[in-house]
Amino acid sequence: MNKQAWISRAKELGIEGLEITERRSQSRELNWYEGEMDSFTTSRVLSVSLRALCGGKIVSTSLEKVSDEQMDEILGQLVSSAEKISETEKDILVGPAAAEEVHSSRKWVEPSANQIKTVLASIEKKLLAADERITKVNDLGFGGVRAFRELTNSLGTEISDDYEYQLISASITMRADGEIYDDYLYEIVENLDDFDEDDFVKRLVEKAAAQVGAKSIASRSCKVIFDYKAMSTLFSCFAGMFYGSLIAKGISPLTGRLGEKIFSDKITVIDDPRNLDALFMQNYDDEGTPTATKTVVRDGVFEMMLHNTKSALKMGAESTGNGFASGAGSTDVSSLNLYIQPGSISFDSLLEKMDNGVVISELAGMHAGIDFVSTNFSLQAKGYLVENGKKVRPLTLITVAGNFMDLMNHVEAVASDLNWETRSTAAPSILFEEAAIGGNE
Amino acid sequence: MLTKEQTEALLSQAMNSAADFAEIFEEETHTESFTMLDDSVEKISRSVRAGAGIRLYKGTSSVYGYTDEMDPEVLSGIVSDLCDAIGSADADAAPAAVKLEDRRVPENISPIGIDPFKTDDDAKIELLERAIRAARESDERIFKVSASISSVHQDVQISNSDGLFTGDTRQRSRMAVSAYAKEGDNVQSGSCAPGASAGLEFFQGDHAPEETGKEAARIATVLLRAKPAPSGVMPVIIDNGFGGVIFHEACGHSLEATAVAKNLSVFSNKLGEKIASDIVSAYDDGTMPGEWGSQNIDDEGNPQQRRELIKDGVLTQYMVDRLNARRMNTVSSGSGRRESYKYEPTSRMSNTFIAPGKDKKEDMFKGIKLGLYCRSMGGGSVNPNTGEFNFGVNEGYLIEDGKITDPVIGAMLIGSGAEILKNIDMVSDDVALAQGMCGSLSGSIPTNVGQPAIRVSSITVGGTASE
Repeated sequence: MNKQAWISRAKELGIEGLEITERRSQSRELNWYEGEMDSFTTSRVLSVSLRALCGGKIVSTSLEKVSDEQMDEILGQLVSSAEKISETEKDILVGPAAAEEVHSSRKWVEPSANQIKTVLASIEKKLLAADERITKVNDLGFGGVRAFRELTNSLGTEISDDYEYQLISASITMRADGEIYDDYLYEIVENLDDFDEDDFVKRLVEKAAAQVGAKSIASRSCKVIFDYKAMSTLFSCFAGMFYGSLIAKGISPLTGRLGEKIFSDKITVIDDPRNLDALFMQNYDDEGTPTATKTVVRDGVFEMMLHNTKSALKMGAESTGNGFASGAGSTDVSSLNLYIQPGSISFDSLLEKMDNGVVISELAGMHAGIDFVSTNFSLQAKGYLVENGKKVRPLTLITVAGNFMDLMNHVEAVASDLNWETRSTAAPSILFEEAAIGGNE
Repeated sequence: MLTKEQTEALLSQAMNSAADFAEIFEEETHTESFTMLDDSVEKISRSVRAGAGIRLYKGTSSVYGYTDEMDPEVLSGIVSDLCDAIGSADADAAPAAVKLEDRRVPENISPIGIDPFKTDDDAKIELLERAIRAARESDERIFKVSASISSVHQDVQISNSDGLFTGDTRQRSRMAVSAYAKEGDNVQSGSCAPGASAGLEFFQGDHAPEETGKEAARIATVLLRAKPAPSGVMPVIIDNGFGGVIFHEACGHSLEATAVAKNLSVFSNKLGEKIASDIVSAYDDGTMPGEWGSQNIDDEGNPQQRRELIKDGVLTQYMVDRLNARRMNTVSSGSGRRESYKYEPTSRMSNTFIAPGKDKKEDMFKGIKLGLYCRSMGGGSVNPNTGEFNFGVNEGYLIEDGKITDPVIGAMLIGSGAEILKNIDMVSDDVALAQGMCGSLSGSIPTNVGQPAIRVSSITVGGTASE
């Protein structure tokens, strides 16, 4: 599309400002099953988002099919939508901002289809040979994505960047004593030449084997550790509480609590879109504001909300560079690489500290068992029972329930094991004084 | 959309490889949504998704490519990449030439009354205003209400190397209301979101905006007086409508060929076997006029069907897509669905429900000393491999000595599908359906869940109440 023509035409139609973001992505995925290629997927998609500032309000649309001939029709529809919007809060587009940029040192090397097939075939063989209880290897695959973004607006902002990633993943099914267990593992792969198949196989088999014999337990209230995986999952369900947009609407549990102590003083929360350890990073948000590293909660005190341009104007603050794409061409507040700062003790020391209790290592049912407003949660979980600081037996079909705000005020210790892997919200393992465990024994 | 000739050329190119089947799915989908928060219109969004997905099979292996660049040269380039991936044809094979035959389904089972895309924006905004007003006026503790109305218009064209050349138009509308209630520091929310394969005419009678607004507000205010849910094993009565999510999670996903074909499901190789209690029969019916999960044809171009999954406790049929039909040595049951051209289709549910039984709801509570009555459910999830599932109780009440007593909050039900189906000991006579979005391999698709009220003799409830 001729972007400058759209920008000039928008001006003629009385639109105060226009922003055009083009996103181009290419992906490739190859899956392997029972000795042969099971599926192969390739894609090429270009989408265009338009954000138009009309009468102080931003209206947006996203289009996968657009030509310059549709300019008047589409811009006209944006103008008429803007007229219907009765919300009085204003919004703005962002002009060019010089910001220091950071860049990932990851070097992605695209493997050939044959190399992928060879590696997957070999992983499948090694997995089946590793443990006779393994009955099936499924969802074994390699996937890679390359995406480019080009943001241009009528204030002269021009940003272009890209990201890339490649992953290997596998699931296995294990049968032991008539019961079925399954587990999965994925790993970021910069260069398939350096991929350690044996280590991957070993880790996946160990992970699945650790579940063998898992049973439920009798319901109880006890000390609980959420390991780094489960804690990251739980924390990500409540990341929205720091968003200025939800606070302004009064539906964040942190409404009216800026400057107050909200969590245990052992908790510090940082949002860092520029974190180079995380898989995804951005120097600019999707509104063109430079991103920044921010301490959101310091020693339990809520210091800073996350804002995009709109929530910032609403709350009399500055955008924190947290305006990210939220569907249909629009942007909204979102964290990127939000994490709980790790502590100094190891996971094993955390177990010793707990002495007796339950470790939660996997959660399910997040879209049903989380109430964001009250912060009550009740989730399906897997984990293991700990007695005298040692792992005693694996647990399955249990529930863990509590209130997130309450839990975060009863922290006994925070471990040092923060792991980003492919996450954009992360937390280390944390020991809590008490949570309710439900079971059927 | 591609012309018949362009499609024939691409399919012929695709079949000049080792492929034994090729398919092109093309779509153009328009969506619009209007969102209001209290008195103001917050957001109006529109989007267009348009592209094509091309798929080639060789035996049970499949290659898939998709793009929104509809230039015939780009598409031909993708076909060529796919041919490379699947391998070349035998040297002595005759060149393939696919001839297409028009086979459009004559009747639209879900015709649109009032087309939202041809209706003035103000009419849709007015529906939202009515919902919000009703929610606010129903209880003074309601302090905030948000409402949205969304419509989708999808045109698809599906063709394949068997000569099929067909198409369909799907239109859906849905309203969602969230109400927030406050008493002191206690804030609770409730929501209600009815939808259908219909236009704006759907929003009247039981689905009038006022009813949706009031229902969201009712749930939020009930939860204000809810106590923490108990933990433990107990009898549970799950009411009709969205309660059907239990069958969807505990059983439905495990009956999809996606899991069954590769022997990954607890119900693999169990056709003809008893998998549920005698009083349970269940259907997946994509042919119900106007329903949220209905289609004229599935996303592989096959007519939708009514599938009897379980008859008097015996497993009678799986839900099967075209590729998995090859793996299972059977035929497609018209269950191939996908979110968009960005997904390869696979076997999915449509409108899935437990058939009505003979019990009266009021009799189901008799004799329960301590149990849980789930009036409305949240969503859930399942691991089809182990059958372990969970689902959240949105609005639950204690049953004490056969009577419904206090509302409880924060209950989650967990169990294994194979076990729960056998523990259903009463089924009421009043089925209702409710709308959901189901996420799986081929993306997020509209599906109905449904059931009469059912009683499960024992199930694990996870809550926060201390013993």
